[in-house]
Formats: sequence, structure tokens, C-alpha cells
Amino acid sequence: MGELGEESIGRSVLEKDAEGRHRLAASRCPECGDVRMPRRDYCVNDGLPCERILLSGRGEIYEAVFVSVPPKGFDHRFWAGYIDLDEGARIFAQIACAEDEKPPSHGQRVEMTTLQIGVRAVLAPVFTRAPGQGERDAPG
Amino acid sequence: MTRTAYVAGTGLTAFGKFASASLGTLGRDAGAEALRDAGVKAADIDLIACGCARSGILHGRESGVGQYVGWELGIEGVPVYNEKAFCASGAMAFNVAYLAVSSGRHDLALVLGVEKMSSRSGKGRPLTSDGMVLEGEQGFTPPAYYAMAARRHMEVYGTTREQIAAVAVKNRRAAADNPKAQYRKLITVEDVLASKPIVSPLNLLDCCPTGDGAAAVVLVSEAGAERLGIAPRIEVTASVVGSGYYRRQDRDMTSFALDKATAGKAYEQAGVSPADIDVAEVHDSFSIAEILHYEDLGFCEPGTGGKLVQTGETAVGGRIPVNTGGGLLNRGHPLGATGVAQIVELSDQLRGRCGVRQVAGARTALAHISGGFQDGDFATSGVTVLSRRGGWRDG
Repeated sequence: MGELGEESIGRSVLEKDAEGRHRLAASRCPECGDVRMPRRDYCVNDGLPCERILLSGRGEIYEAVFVSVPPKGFDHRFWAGYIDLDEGARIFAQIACAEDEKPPSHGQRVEMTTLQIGVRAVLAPVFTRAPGQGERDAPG
Repeated sequence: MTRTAYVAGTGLTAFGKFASASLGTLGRDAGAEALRDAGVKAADIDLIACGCARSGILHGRESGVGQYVGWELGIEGVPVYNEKAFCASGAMAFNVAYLAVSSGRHDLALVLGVEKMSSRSGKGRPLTSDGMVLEGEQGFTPPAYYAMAARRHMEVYGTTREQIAAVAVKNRRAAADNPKAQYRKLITVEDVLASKPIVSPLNLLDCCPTGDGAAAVVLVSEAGAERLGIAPRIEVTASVVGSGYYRRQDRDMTSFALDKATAGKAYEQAGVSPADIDVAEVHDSFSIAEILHYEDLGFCEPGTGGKLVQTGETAVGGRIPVNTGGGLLNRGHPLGATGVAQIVELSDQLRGRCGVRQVAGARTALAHISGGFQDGDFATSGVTVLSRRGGWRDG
């Protein structure tokens, strides 16, 4: 149980918005606009204090791979990869893909949802492809 | 003024899984061999630099591995620098010793690299990504990173799965002729492609093993060599390390700015170009890594690394033989030992001691290693250039 980031970096990377939906918690530099997830206190470019923002959760796949041998803490295979979020941050995350769907690939549009992952059932961002981008292979 | 530093002697244990060995005994065996090879005594050593990445998490010895090995060897009263830089820990130790000797502060340094991963007294795992802990919570592993790089390289440049597998086959061929390598039985491209899938497109035989082992190098200044009456021939013409460029988020995973930067500085420091390199050790923790690094080291044009290995140019007998000792894939990869083991292999090549895997007439050699991850980039890169001075019959 718990949320992603609580164990590894001491705080969740998720935050609820006014409508109660989980969003990605990020930081933005008020000067250069640099966006980072997870949040940074100070901008890595100019050292200024960053403002806290919530991200849209939309972006595109930079690259995705199928992890056939799940590492410790995971009991089944999964897709994961780097997601380039629309606001400019690149993050690593799992990508939802059923066995009969086409594999995720570079450039596909994705949107964030939240799912419990791993044996600890950690609530984490998981990305799903936009309609039409992960469509099933034709039967036969 | 910078002074010249020489490799005066080297030592290497076999790499593998050795239940009865400890960090102390492994380091001792490699260190004693290096001292004998250099023709110096333990009492002559005036500095120890030791690379070991996982001593804390695996063996409850977070600090002081260099002191532990020095204690085994009878080296006392000297400064000891313990370096932890992931897979590049040994390369970092070599760099520290190089700085100490070339600065004129020290004359005779013992560089150690040691790791014991086959058993542990602590609770930790042999391979974790300290710089990617958030990603690790989501299932990130090093092969996943390299698998993404492989997919990008295949899509952007048309690199084939067979070309990637050819790295593992070539390096196993070299390891077959290295009695200290962990895996020596010949394999084929078909074997690689049929081995257990790990992270697509990488299979088990595309991945380096864990294991135990140690390597050691004696570095000496000219003044130290004169005083001790030894005549080392292998000059360290460049030793460069650097950390990642983490700020860049739209990183192109087919090429890495960090390795280009350390390689560029090393070529400049040594006064050589990629065309001058006769033999190289290149980080091949995963088969695709060697292809990526060929390109960033300037051994070939971007996108042509797959072809370079497939055509045999990086095999023993080719234009620029790479990983003649078997590489991380087959000599093995006890993390802290590897960076020093690379120097041992190249020194042996430059001294004409490699038997059937000898690169004829090798005079200039390059070692490259990557170490760990931080925020999506490699955490460390190290490049060393060695050059042979004098004639071939001088030993």
C-alpha cells in the first residue's frame, strides 16, 4: 500500500487536485519554465526556488520495453518506459498493454491513470495509450 | 607540473563465484600478484586507492575495504582512498591514484578493484540502481534502460538484433582464450537469440553476470621507478572521469553526451585520436552498450556500431579489437574490480603477454567504463589511455 515515492524519496509523487483526482506533482521554475517531476526545490538551471504545479498527465512514449523477468517486488511481467510529458518532463513509468494489444512504441500518445503496482500494491502513475494507438491485432 | 605515471605491474584473480573467498582475500591475491609483477614490496607502496561498489549492502563493510586489503597485504601507514562509483568504482580508484602520482605527491600507488557478489552477509541485492530509486519502485532495472536504448538504436539506425547479439558472441570468443574469464564456452548468435528473454529485445546472453573477483595495478612515477630500480614501459597518457548531464530531459538514448565528453578530454590529454587506438576495453554490461559506446568513443560513425561488430572489425585480428579479455559479458563483472581489470588486460596487451588473444604490435590502448545511473543519465564515465614506450623486447 502507499503511494509511489513514499518509500524511495520520502514523499508521494501524486497529489489530488480540486476535483479529487490524482495528478503528477511537479515543480516549475518561475524564470526559465523548466519543469521537473519529481519536484525540485530549486531550479537546476538558475538556482531559483521553484513553484509547485500539477501536470496534465498527457504525453508521448519516448521508448517502451517489455520486462519479461520481473525484478524483486513484482510478481508478473509488464511494459514500462520513458514518457515525455507535454509540460517537458521525462519520467519512467509502467505502460498498460494487454497481451492481445499492439506493443507500445515510440511516439504514441499516452495519458496517465493510477493503478496499484507490484507486490506492495503501491499506487503509481500508469500510462494508457490514446484510443486507436494500442488497438488489438486482427484475429488470425 | 604534471609528472608521468606508469603502470609498473598488474594482478588479476580469476572471475567467478568463489564461496570461500572474501573481499580481503580476493584483493590480497590480486594485490600480491601486482606487487610481484612490478618487482616492489608492500613496504614500498605509499598510497592505496580501492574501488568496491557493494561492500556495504552485501557484506556490512560500508567503509574501509582498501584498509582491509592493505591489512591482508601488510601495507600500513599510508593514505587509503575508497571509491564507490557503481560499475566505475575501480576506474575511479585508478583515476585517484593517477592524480596522486602525476601530481608529484606520491611515487608508488596500489590500485585495487574488488567485489564479492555471489554471496552476502547483508540484506542487499547485488544489482540495484542507487540513482534511480523512484524508477526502481516501478520496476526499473539496468537491462530495461539498455533495452530502451537498443530499441531506439534499432529504430533510428536500423541496427539488427543479430548485430547486437554479435557483441556477446565476439566477446565470448575472446573469453574462451582467457583462463581467468567467468564464461568461456563458445556461443553463437542463435544461442543468444534463443536464450531466456530478460527485457525485450535483450536476452540472458546479452547481459553480464554477477560474480567475485579482484584486480590490481601498481602505478609509479619516474622518480619512484628510478629509486626502486624498475623500468616500467606502460605510460598512462590520459585518465579522465566525469559525471552525468542530468539536466537534459529530452535525452537521445542512441548517444550519450557524458561518454563523448570524457572520451574527448582523454583523446586531447593523450594527444591521440580514435584512429590511433590499437586495442580497447569498452563497457559491455549489456551487448547493446558496446555498440553505443563504439560510436561515442569515435571508433565509427553514429549508427554504424552494429555493422562494426558484425564485420569483425572489433574482434581479435580486426581493425580495432575490443574486449579482448571477454568484456564484462564474459570475463565477468564484479563491479568494483572491472575498471581495474580493464587496465590489467590492456597493460598485458601492450606488454605482449596475451597469448593467442594478443593484438600484434599494440602500442596505444583505451579503456572505457560507465558507472550507474542518476536521473536518467549515466552517473559516471571513465576513459583511460595507455601507451607503450620503448621497444618490444624490453618486457
